[in-house]
Amino acid sequence: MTLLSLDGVTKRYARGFREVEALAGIELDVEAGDFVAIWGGSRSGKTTLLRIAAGIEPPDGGRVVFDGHDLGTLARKARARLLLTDIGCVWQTGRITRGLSVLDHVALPRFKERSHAQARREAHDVLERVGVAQCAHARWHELSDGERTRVALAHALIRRPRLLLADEPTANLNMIEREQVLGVLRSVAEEAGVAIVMTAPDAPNLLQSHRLMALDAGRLIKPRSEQRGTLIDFPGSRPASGQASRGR
Amino acid sequence: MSVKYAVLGLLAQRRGYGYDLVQRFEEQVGPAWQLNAGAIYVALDKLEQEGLVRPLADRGGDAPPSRRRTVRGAPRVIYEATPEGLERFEDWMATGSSMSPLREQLHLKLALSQPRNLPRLIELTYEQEQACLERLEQHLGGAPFEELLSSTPQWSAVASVMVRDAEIAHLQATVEWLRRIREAMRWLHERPEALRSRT
Repeated sequence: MTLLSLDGVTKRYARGFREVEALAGIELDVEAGDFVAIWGGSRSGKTTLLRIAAGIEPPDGGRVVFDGHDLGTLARKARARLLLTDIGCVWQTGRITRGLSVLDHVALPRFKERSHAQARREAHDVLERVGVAQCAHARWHELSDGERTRVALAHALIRRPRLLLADEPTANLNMIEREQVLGVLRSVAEEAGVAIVMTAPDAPNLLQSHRLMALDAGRLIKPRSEQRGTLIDFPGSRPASGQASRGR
Repeated sequence: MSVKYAVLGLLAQRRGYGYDLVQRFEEQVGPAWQLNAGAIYVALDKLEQEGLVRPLADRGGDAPPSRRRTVRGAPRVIYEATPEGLERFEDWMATGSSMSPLREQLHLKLALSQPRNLPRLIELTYEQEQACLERLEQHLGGAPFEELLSSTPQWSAVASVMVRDAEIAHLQATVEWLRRIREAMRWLHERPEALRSRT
């Protein structure tokens, strides 16, 4: 069943006097248990894509449908609730709740439903899983960039979201840490059926996923098995005679 | 040629027959070479002519070695490396490695193109990036280094992951190049006046 669906999503930004096309007609369907990796460089539009998929930012055109709800027509409160329960996000600019230790920050979403001791135990397990249990009692300013991303990942995972959107969750990690985080993402998808959309800056980060695609200048490039319609429509790219693609 | 030494190297590891060598090549070197089985048989013939490998009699050894090499039913010929073969392989390992020239059709098309081809060339960069993704797809879910390093691996496993990594690195570099030239070509396409016409 399709959990998240982006249908012809477009987005433009004004940058100085020019308009920049951040996303140009994105089509993307993600099912429960799918681990999708999107390969994009800086300014490719990948963070915008994730923000729109999370319902944080509205698209200029097209639709985002999560679990049957069109995020564009959903009330603000309902959208916010989705972000608290069903959609987990890991941003590169994440912060932890002011004044809390890493452990309490991660346990926080669980404090309401469990005893504090239980919530902390659970938080410790998640931190261990993503490889930062040693930071449990640290404060935000004591963490390295790589540790911060993994704390943000733990914070998102503890709520057991149905969709996880992760913006470069492996940035600033060494090879061993990277594979550990990717392995956690893969097993969360396969065992808990979480749908994951992750962005990555380079090829080695893509290889634990189930599906991979590339984003460049706001265009999503997929392997032929997934591409619907023409890859890119560039007016005037072929001779009008229709004798275009001979001799390939 | 390299395939010859690859086959010799496989036989230096242990004896084997044609199809077994095809499989071991695929396993250890990976899909990037896209070698067909025929090339391995050709290499075997050459190696045998040079006295670097020799056929063993099949099962028991009293029957004369058969020349038939079909997988179905026919007695298969098992080869082993001769002492000269082993020596030659060691020599090859010790020599420097040449680098093959980069020969992509897209490079030729770019070199021979005209400004009016820009839209199609831009499209071609997308298609090429798509092809790179498809090649990368073949490596999805491969044993990551971490799994390997935490499990006291065999050298052969580490070696094949390093070879696989070479293709991944090459594909990554290609995609980065495609994105770079695409951006440049888009820029030029939007500003035709930026190009000096030939005088």
